[in-house]
Amino acid sequence: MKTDKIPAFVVTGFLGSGKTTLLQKMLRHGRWRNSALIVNEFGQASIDHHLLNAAAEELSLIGGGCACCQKREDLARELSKLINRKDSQILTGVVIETTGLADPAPMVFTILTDPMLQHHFRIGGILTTVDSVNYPRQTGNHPELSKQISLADVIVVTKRDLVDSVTEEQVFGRIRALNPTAKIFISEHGNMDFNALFAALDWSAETSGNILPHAITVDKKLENSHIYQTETQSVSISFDGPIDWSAFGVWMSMLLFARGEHVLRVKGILDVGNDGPVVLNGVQHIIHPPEHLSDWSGHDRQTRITFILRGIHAEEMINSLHAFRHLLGARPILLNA
Amino acid sequence: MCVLCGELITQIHWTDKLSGEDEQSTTIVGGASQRTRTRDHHHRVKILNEVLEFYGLNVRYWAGNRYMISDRKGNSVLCTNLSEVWTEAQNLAGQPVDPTDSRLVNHLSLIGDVKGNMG
Repeated sequence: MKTDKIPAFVVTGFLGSGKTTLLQKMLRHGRWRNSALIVNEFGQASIDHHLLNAAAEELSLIGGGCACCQKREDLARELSKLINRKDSQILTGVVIETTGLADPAPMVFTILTDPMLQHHFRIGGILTTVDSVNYPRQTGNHPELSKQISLADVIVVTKRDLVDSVTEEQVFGRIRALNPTAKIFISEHGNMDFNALFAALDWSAETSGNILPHAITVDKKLENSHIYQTETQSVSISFDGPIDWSAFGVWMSMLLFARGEHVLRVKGILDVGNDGPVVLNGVQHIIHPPEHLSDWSGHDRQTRITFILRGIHAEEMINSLHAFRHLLGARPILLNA
Repeated sequence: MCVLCGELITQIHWTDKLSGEDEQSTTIVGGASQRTRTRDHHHRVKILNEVLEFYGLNVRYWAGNRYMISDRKGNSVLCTNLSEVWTEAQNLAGQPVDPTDSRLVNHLSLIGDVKGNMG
């Protein structure tokens, strides 16, 4: 039975990176009719035909208390209020605007694990705005910013009209080094191709075709990305044949248990020997329910997984997968060596 | 909730999703897919035993697609999914359970080499 959950989109970005400007333009688009906007800060202006809820940040620790496995009580409460509204039936989407320093991972955790919310909402996607004027100066000092970029499905580079081509290349190089799987858009004065943006910003099965191209493409610019290396790095891995899905689940769940805080993002497609691939999408300890697709939609039949890691070396991942090769049924290949 | 044992299940673990199942589904239905699910579960138990043998632990299939994990002293814990398996394995083993641990990597590599030569 196909359930129809409401997509929740998380919009994040560092202080002054243009989140609100982008949202003001974006939410006027017809796609967001009957959508709700939840903002982290009070004093935001209400937008026509949108419901506006304000939430003060409240975290409650779950389990071991790692950074991503925190329940955002404020968000859970606001989303519950939306569901309990008399007109909740018309709700077609929720946009959650975070504060500039917020970590999007607990929001994803809250929506995917709350006993009530998981039945009503799904993660639509994570959008991060990056200010091309200030990003080169901010990047070394603010780990929050690197994490926001690492977790994004879509990155919108703002204020491009205010920088020269050298700075622009530097910004793109750093973003690509941190997150090669995200689709990058450019916004000038909050204007951009919103239809293309909406098509890219969705984890749902209907649009999983959109996940494929940027999940399986290892960006050529990565070859030069070592000049931008920080402690956060991305690793793209393939295998020399189809892999055993159960064995991969054992390895991956063990990795996330032991090192989940260091696996900022995992995204990719897996050849498990079936007619179609399995689409994998995760944020730290939280793995979105994998999609088993019916076909490869014209793409090469090959596993491509990109991990965005902090504090784990690529060799550790490859050595571990190599040790599991007899269980996985294939040997790992490092793609961006 | 499981209609047979009454156990409250609040979350389907991501590794328990089967091919053809609705990505958004939050329920597991028995019937035809249950046979596939049970077969997958037995296969996963076999893989787990190859890994957890290094820590002196053993895993058995338990009714309702659960895992009974035991140490050599006879301590046993029932787990409902792989996340719980790793938590309890670490508790029973008394040491970190980590797939990037060089000792585990060397141990499994040797097994892989032997199986590769046999194959």
